[in-house]
Amino acid sequence: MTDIREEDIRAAFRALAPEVHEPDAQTRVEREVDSRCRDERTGSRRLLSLGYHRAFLRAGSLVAALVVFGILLYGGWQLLRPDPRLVITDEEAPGQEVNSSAQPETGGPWKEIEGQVVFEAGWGEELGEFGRDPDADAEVREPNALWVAADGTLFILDPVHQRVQEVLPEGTAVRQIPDPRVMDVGGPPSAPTDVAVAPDGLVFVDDTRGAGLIWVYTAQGDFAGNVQSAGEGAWSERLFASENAVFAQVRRVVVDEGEHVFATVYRYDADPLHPRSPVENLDLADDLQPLGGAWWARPTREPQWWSRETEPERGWYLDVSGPHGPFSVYLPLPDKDERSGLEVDLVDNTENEDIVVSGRLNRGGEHATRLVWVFDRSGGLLETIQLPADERLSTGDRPAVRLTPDGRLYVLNTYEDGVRVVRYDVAVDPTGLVALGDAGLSLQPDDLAHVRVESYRIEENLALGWFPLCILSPVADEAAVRTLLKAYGRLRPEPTSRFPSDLALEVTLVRQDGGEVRLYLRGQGDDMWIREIPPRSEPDNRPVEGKVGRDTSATAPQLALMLRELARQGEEPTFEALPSERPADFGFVFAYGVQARNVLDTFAARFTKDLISPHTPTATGVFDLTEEELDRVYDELGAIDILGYESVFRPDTGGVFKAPHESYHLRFRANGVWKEIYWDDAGDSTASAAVALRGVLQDVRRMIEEDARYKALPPIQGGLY
Amino acid sequence: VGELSDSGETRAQAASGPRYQSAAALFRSERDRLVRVLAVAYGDREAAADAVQEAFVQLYLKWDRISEYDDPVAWVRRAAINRLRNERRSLRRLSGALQRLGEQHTSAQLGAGADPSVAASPRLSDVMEAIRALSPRRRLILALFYLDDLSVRQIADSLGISEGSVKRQLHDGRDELRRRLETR
Repeated sequence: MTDIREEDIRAAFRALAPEVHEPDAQTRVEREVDSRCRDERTGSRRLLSLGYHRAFLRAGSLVAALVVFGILLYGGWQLLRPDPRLVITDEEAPGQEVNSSAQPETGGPWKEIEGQVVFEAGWGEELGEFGRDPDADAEVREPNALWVAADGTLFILDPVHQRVQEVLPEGTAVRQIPDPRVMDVGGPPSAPTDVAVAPDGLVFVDDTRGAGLIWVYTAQGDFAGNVQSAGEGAWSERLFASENAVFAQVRRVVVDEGEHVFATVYRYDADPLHPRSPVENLDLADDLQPLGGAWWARPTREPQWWSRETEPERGWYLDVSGPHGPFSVYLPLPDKDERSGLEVDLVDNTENEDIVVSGRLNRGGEHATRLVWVFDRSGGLLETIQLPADERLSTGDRPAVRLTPDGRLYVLNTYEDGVRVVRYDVAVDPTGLVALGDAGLSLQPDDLAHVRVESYRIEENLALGWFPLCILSPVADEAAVRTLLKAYGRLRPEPTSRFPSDLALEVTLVRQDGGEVRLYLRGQGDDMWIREIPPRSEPDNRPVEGKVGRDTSATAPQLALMLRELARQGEEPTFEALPSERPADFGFVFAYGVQARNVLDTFAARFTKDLISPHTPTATGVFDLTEEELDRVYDELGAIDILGYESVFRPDTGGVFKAPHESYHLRFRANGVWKEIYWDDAGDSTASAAVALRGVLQDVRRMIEEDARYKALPPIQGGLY
Repeated sequence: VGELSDSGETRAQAASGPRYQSAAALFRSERDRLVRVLAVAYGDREAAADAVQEAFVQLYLKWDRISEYDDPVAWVRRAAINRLRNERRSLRRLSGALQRLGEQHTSAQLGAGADPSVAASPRLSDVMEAIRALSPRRRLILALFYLDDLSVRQIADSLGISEGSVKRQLHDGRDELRRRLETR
């Protein structure tokens, strides 16, 4: 047996350690410290130093002022564009205010929606390896939280086994998180209450009730770190995730563009309604700026129990606090006479800031009916779903729910003898841009043709008695504005003090039918106007009076959300051909084989092999491509002009059809732009485009199958062909 | 930064830093050691230097508070490690870093600071190869122990894990090195 001495190891480490002395290192640190101290003193001035073009003509301002004096009778705010075209908004016009509070009379529709069972598993049954054996890896007991990834993969939190089960959409358990083999390092969570998965695959498990911290794991289940509790404040228990962030209530954990994790500690008074200002950042990673505001959301009293005496006549009111400020909602409930109480819990906040509340309707002390409400961020009730009555439902557990950005609502229910996940398709506005409640503006994704942004610098901000007037000049450097907006998004939670006061935007959301929704935003985040303009095909093309609104109190957070969205959109370039150099964000998901069941995901560094077996359908392993291999794939895609291919590729086959046949699905990203191609290669097409594409895809396939990691996966077990 | 450094000195004299009278003194004493350990552990000298620099920037800015800690070095070490971990975007990037470690090692010929007589030993090169094959987490723990001469307790504090976990990792790390050497 080979012996290894401590001295050998020590010497080897010393030999490996590079020379690191840099004489000017300390100077650099001190300069940086000095710079940050100065930044702190100057506040937002740094942002304003971006290069705007001051092209406004002073003569124009005089003309503009004269014009404005001529229309004083219109009242309201005026925005004078430099063309000069006058935009008049009427704050007195009847319309839906952004900060809507749904009242009993406008409490939203009551409807029941049919759900689709994603999978169902009873204890001890063998269903996709689910619940087969108490000691089996795939067994789940009394799950209490659910996360749904964009591809439908489920992450089910099992508090009994203190782990998260990663389950494919069809119900196959593929992984336990944390990885039980390294559990001594990264856990397990002692009393986990919630799970959230960031866009880059990091898995967050809220264990603030147990270990007083949030565990963070890699997509492969390895321990990545934790965020520890300061030992005071309210328990979090629930995680909220947005497009680029995962939030907890007590402390916020943020994944910033998939790179950084940090936390900010917020102390709360005993009354959760009135959080104190943030008092301390977590030591470990407080070097990063927060992305979002002091964002917390929960019912004002938790749990909320009302007696008959205190119940509103027709339902219950619920006060919710969130990034939009507090709002009150009314929960219309059926069968009022049968209820004796209601417990509600704010469960979720999703990428588009919609809110899901699940609750239990109690009858005589028993949890008889389970309800889920979906709100938009302004408190408008979008959906109410009554979960199917089922005597098997166990008591004492609220359903775990998760709302995906595309409007699918997943509900995980625990029964006395099993678990069921049901999917509902609910009507949610995923644009996140306009959502004003039941009667206000809404813009569905299918409607949206494009977004146009015009940026202005406020040259004059006049107060002529009671009449305010802004005189605007265009901001020529739109890229600078977008940078500014992005920076602004990062600089919350103090938007009103950080946002440059001399910037105004006119945002036009153009519908497919030609109609427009315009949003006028002015600096400081305290003013916003919205108007809707119908399509030109309609005879009366004047703005719709009834849908002109002005925010009165909750604009700043909404503005922040909107700007963040716009900034994100602005960063998405479009191009006709792939850039010659492989962009840093290049990656792809490539599926191939019969029914395209072999999948390489370079983002998740994962390969799933189709074993063609009904018992063990797939095997999954860690798989990443080298930089050289990625270069090769990228170059080959560019060489065949991959952007010229249709999303569903159907080359001429001369009527030939073979079965089985290869199917391909390629989805790749370059410079933030996604491209997707489906191809059922059933006809052995000899068209040049087909031959070229087949050549590239088969090359990728060879890359995979000649790799030792592929060969280490279990062999194919079945299949007739 | 004269003002800040000066005040740091002054504050520290009145405060309780057990070994360091100022953030600047701590920097001079500990910076290179930290960079060396993290460079070996994560295979990226530049990233390690950046992370340590950022950790020290934070230390300067918060010296009032951190100087009160029992072990300000542990704070810096932990902040730097945390930053490095956060910057590991994916397994692919990690893989690239490991490759760079190999390239760096090759180009540096065992490092400028290495003892030439030791470097000539083929045995040592085998051990080095085995160390490079370790997982970053395990390599970090071994590096803190063997290169930075930290105690098990100090390593546990730095990584936020139990002493038992550190001992286990050290034991498993040595086992893994031994196994890798046997297969050569």
